[in-house]
Parts: sequence; C-alpha cells; structure tokens
Amino acid sequence: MEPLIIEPSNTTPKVKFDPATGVMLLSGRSTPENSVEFYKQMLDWLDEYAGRPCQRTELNIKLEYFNTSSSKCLLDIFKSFNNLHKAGNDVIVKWYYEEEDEDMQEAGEDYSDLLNVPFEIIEVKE
Amino acid sequence: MKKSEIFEKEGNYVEELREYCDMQSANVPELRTKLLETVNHYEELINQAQLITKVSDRLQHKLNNLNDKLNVKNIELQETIDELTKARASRKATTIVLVVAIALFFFSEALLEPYIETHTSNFYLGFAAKFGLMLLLKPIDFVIEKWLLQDALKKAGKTG
Repeated sequence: MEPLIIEPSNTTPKVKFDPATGVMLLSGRSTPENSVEFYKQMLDWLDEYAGRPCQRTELNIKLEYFNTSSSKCLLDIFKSFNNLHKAGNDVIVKWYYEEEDEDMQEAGEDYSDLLNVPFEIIEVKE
Repeated sequence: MKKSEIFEKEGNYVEELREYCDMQSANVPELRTKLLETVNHYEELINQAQLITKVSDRLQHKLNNLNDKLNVKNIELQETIDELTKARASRKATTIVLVVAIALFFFSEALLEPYIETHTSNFYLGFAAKFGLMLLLKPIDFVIEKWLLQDALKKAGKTG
C-alpha cells in the first residue's frame, strides 16, 4: 500500500499517511471549496488501510483553522478510526493546539466527547 | 441528491427509508427494526449537528479574535505611517527653510544693508531688518511643513 502524501496549499492542509509506520499527520489550514472531495481520498485510503492496519495507528492533527464542512469530514475520519479501534486495533488520536488557542483546544474536546477513541489533547508552546 | 454533498450518507439513508415506506410488503417486525435503525441514525445526526455547530461557533470566535487583533495592528500601522509622513514633511520643510534663509542672507547683505546704509544713518535699522527677516523663518517653516503634510496625505489618500 502506497503512502498518502498531499502537499499543503492556502486552503488545504498537509496530509501524510504512512502505512508502514501507522503514523498519520494532518496539519495546517483546512478551508477547501469542496471539502468532501478533498477528504474523500483520505477516507478511501483509510478504508484500504483498515484491511491491513499496523499494530499501532496514530493520527496527529495539527490544524490552525478549518471550516464547517471540514469539521464534518474530520468527524468522518475520526469515525474510521473509531471503527479501527472497535475492531481491536491500538489507535490513538493526538490533537495539537497552539498555546492560548482555547478555541482549538475546546474543538478538540468536543470531538473527543463524541468519540470512543483514545484522544489526547496536546498544547504546543509557541 | 448531489454526490459531493456534506450529508450524503445521511441523505442516502433518507432515500432508502422513503423507498422502504413505499413498500407494501413490509410487516410489523421489519418496520420495528427499520424504525429502531432510523432512531439510531437520527440520534447520530443530532450528535453530529450539535458537534459541528459547536465547533463552527468556536472557529467563528477564533476568527473574530483574529479580526480584532488585525484591526488593532492596522490602527498601530496607520499611526506609524502618519508619524513617518510627518517626520518626512518636517525634514523637507527644514531643508527648504534653510535654502530660504541662505537666500534671505544674500538678499540682506547684498541689497538691504547697502540700501539702508545709503539712505539712513541709523545703525539699529539694519539690525532690526535682519532680525525681522530671521523671525520670518519660523512661520515660513510652519507653512511649508503644513503644506507638504497636506500634499503627502492627499497623495496617500489617492493611492490608498
């Protein structure tokens, strides 16, 4: 299985999903015009990955800002992780937010409340 | 339903349910199962909508904060630009006044003083004339600076 790498743009985040290590990264700003289309490739990749996952899968979210439609797509990604976790795999989501960015911290808390996946909220010093 | 809609999966389920309701053959236990499934879907949809609304509000709040910070920075920047424009105008005015002062010096030495000396014998009159010319420098500086500043602001207004 090939890694999924998408370089960042002004409106889309950096994506780096590595099937060999199970470490996945989503960082930057997510305000694409068509969020569903952008996130579909990630969801499809995750569907394929779920067939042969690593012992431990780690999703690192380092988003500065995302729009409303991206928030729904993120939820779909988290659900994929939820399913992976339900299937008995070791899964962790790490949600990074910048120091004093309470809005992003609380957004992470909102997601963690709704999901049954181990969810870590980590402050990053500027 | 369009393929790229955000609630595509949920929309598809509604369609499926509508088709199911149109079926004449559905019996009661099947209906009960479908109803329970629907309740679960509906509950999940509510949870999702609540989460998305909350997250969206938080992000809007973040955007508002950034906007406020940007406005403060804009005001600070405008103040700095104004001060810089004023300083530049003042420097230009000083240079012009210096040229005017040199011109007045030559005027007083070459024309005014010989004229006073030939027409009057009063030593203080020449002195007073030079002093008067010297006093003129400050108002000239003020007028030139004001004019340059207005000109600069007008230009800034045109480009900005």
